[in-house]
Amino acid sequence: MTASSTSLRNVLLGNRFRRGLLKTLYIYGALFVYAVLFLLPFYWMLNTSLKEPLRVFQIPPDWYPNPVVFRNYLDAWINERTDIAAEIPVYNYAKNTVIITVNGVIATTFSSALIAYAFARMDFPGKQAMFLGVISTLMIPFTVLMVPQFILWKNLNWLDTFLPLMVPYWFGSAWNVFLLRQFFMTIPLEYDESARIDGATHWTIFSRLIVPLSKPALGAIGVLAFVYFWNDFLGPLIILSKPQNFTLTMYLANFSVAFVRTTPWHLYMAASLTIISPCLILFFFSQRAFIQGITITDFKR
Amino acid sequence: MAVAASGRTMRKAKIQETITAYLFVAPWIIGFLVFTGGPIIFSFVLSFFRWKVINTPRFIGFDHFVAMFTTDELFLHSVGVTFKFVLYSVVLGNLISLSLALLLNQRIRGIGIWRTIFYLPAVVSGVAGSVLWAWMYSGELGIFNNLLLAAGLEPQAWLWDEQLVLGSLVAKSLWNVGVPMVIYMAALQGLPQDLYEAADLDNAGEWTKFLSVTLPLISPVIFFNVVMGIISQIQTFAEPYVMTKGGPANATLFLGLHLYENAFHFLKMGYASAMAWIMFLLIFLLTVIQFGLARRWVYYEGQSS
Amino acid sequence: MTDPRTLSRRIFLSLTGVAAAGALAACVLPETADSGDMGAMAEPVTLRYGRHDPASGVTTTLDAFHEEHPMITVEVEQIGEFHAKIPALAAAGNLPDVVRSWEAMALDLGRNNQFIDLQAHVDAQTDFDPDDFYPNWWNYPVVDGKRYGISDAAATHMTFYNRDLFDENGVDYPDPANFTWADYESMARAISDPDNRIWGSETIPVGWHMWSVKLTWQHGGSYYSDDYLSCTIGDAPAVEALQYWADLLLDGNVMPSPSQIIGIGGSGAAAELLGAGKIGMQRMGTWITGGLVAAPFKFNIAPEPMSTQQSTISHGAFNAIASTSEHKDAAWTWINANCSTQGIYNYCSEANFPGTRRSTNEIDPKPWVAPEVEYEVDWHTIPESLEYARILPGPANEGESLKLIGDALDLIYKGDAQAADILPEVADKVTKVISDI
Repeated sequence: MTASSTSLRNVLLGNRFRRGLLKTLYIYGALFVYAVLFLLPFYWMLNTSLKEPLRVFQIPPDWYPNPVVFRNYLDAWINERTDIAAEIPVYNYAKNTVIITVNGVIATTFSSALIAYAFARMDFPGKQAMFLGVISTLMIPFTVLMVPQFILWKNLNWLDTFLPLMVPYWFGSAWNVFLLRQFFMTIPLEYDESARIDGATHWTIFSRLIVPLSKPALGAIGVLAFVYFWNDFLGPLIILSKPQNFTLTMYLANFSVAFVRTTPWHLYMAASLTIISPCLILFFFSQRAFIQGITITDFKR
Repeated sequence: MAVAASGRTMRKAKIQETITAYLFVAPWIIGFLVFTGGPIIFSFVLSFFRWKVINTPRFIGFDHFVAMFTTDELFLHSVGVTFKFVLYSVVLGNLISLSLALLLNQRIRGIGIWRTIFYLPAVVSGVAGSVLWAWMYSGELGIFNNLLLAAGLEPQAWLWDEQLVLGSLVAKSLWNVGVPMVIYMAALQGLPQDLYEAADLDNAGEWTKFLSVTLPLISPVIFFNVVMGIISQIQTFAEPYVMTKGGPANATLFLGLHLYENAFHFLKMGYASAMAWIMFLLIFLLTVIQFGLARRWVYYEGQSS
Repeated sequence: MTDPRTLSRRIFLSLTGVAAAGALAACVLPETADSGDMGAMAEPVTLRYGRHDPASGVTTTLDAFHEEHPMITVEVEQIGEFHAKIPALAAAGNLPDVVRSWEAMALDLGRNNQFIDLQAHVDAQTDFDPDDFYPNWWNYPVVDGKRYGISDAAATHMTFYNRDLFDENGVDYPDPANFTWADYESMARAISDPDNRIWGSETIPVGWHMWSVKLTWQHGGSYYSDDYLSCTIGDAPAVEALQYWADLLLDGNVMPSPSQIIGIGGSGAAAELLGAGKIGMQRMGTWITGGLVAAPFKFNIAPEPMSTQQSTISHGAFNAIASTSEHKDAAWTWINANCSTQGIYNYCSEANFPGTRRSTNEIDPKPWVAPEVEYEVDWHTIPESLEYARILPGPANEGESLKLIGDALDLIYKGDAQAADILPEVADKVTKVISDI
């Protein structure tokens, strides 16, 4: 855009202020449209979760619950009809999920950062091939790895324990390694070079330079990992058998089994919303820390 | 003499660097050897065997690979369905997530709330999200048809119309752009402001700044999101499994679903493994091509020019 | 086993081991454990009991069992996603000692030697009375003379109907003694009011093609021959039955279209609309009774309609002992308690099922009766159905065969093909699949 066309536009729009106003309007307009589309499913979930059981199948459906039945949220978790809750207290499912999630977040963030550092900032024989190997492990569908892996866990005597859901994540996960490598590669190499001249080891560069500079990326990975482990269903489902080891997602899945009669959609939606709420709260409160974390420019100054 | 000595020191430093590097990647190597490598090789070997999972494997050579392109009428069909889905969901998904991240990178009020709204869908797991969307797509009780009716339009058979169903699944996948969006947001946060200041001095417009500063700087992350988007979307399973079971008339029989049905409903694990390896080859080739093309458009700060 | 191409597990192992010896060592197929039976139960034994639903259904039986057999502890394992996890457990040689498995899967696992033949245990147990079981259930888990399980509860499909809808439209109720498909159709038409989203009949849930088998039975046909070695879906009775249903479905005045119910059904598989008062007649398993108790209308039960033959479908599960179990005698002791008259009763009364033992169904209160219902319901039709109900068929490679049948039925039910045009060809393909044992 040339200077003359810009000034022409300034003339057309009157002044800078009006242009700013237009831009603001445009931004909020777009945000609003997107937000409505994104929230619609949640509204429908919330709407269903608060309905009186008999009104769930009303045709046409009610656009808002009338009456509003908050009790559904209680029933979704403490209900003798679910049978599952009768034997294992809900906090037990929650506790299992928390253990697996906390371990997973710490393990995968730490180990993946370490591995990604070598791929992004160091030179060693076989690097390209090994990196392709890392990503390749993501390309084989879990479906065909499930049985051999299951046999592996059995021979390690790890079945029906949390170990298969915890230990492997201390050895990096390909997705995170790749992502962190991409982020690390955006940091100018001169930083390392000057640090090396000062005699810093790779460990120092990694822990004192790269990690602090990559807080946004590490934070993002932490949150994404949290959601992944929190929601993981197939993993625990295959590994865990004794009800006292079950996780929250397995509790939710049991809805359709325990209510052999018909799916209680209002309770299912209530339980779903309850389960995702910790992820939302975490995201809401942590986003500042990682999205508005230290940026490269701040560091330079 | 001096040259030789410095050569030796350099070699020594290089060896040390190599050792350190291997120490850094050691977790991955160990993890691969102990946890991942075995099952991967196991599944590769299995693709040459007939194995019902509950019986003893029987060697059959390349029969499975031949069957895939001859007797299995659904294999190539499922590859086609999958690729069509991947094309739409990856391209549109990245456009939407990047544009959202750009919007959220502006100075706006209540930024925390806005971000949370757009991230919201990402916290719903594949299965739960699919159940929810199937419920929304349902004929009489679904919100979409009732909105159409309220607007005086014809209701649609979202999951039962062969022409429409793939689009319905793409729409669901676009709702889940929270993850790439967060990655784009993190990338935009890390952009050095001085380049923009320089652009301002040149009196560059917003669009010019986006094309000449933002886009090159976040290209490594665009590259990541596209590569990973393709890798993960090709393996899409939960959506068709929960919402359509591959129907109607196999219109949503994704490769991932065809593979799962063969593995666990038909108990043809050997055949499923063979299919998985063809799938692997496809994804691998696509990825390698992307890495090759990346040299032309991905810009790395940390790379010596 | 004599096939030279059949690899022993050991060779298979070393073959795969060449590539990644160390990594794979822990990944090998385990040798099938020898049946090291403990003879006398001198030492305490812990049994693993795998089933697909939560343990609550067997709590009462478990408590009584543990009191009677202090040396045996039964631990219930709930196996979600049966289709994936049971094969994985079998491949790892880690099946629970006792597995409560579904129809086709029980037979398949038996055919592949994952379960032991229980006949010897049955014969050795002098107080075990096979005649107490309804014959269809007793005979089902037997392949080539080997018995791979003992049944417990049965869930037969009945016609549940909304009496209020019949009354409002002045339609006579189904006659439990003589209910034909002609009756069903005329009643459904009289009740249907598509403009107001009311239908006389239910739709078979999308994708549940194994349920269409009951239509063929009721018209004197079947999916498979009795020995499960050939597919008979291309024969006239089956073709007529399935086309008849397709015509009703496409009529638009009898039942909702699949697109109207897709997305609604959970495991109750679209009985939700009946519960909401939108459906006149719903043919469905007896498990939905509990869901109808609180419905805003009066319901009643009739047999499924017939055209040439009284028939219906039944779901059942069979308790089997894994060949890898190290406690087979203790396992039999548990099966014996769990499948006893009282054991079956305890489970049935949790979920409105009848038992597969006649003696179970003589105990009061009857397990299939919902005591909350104050008006009169023809409950007696439920145990009566056990005399003629058939169990979901279980040929070899049932999953693959059902996919072929299902794809064809999808076309027929969408009106894109005529049953007579495509089913004979499908039958040939299915025969090939199921005879490949």
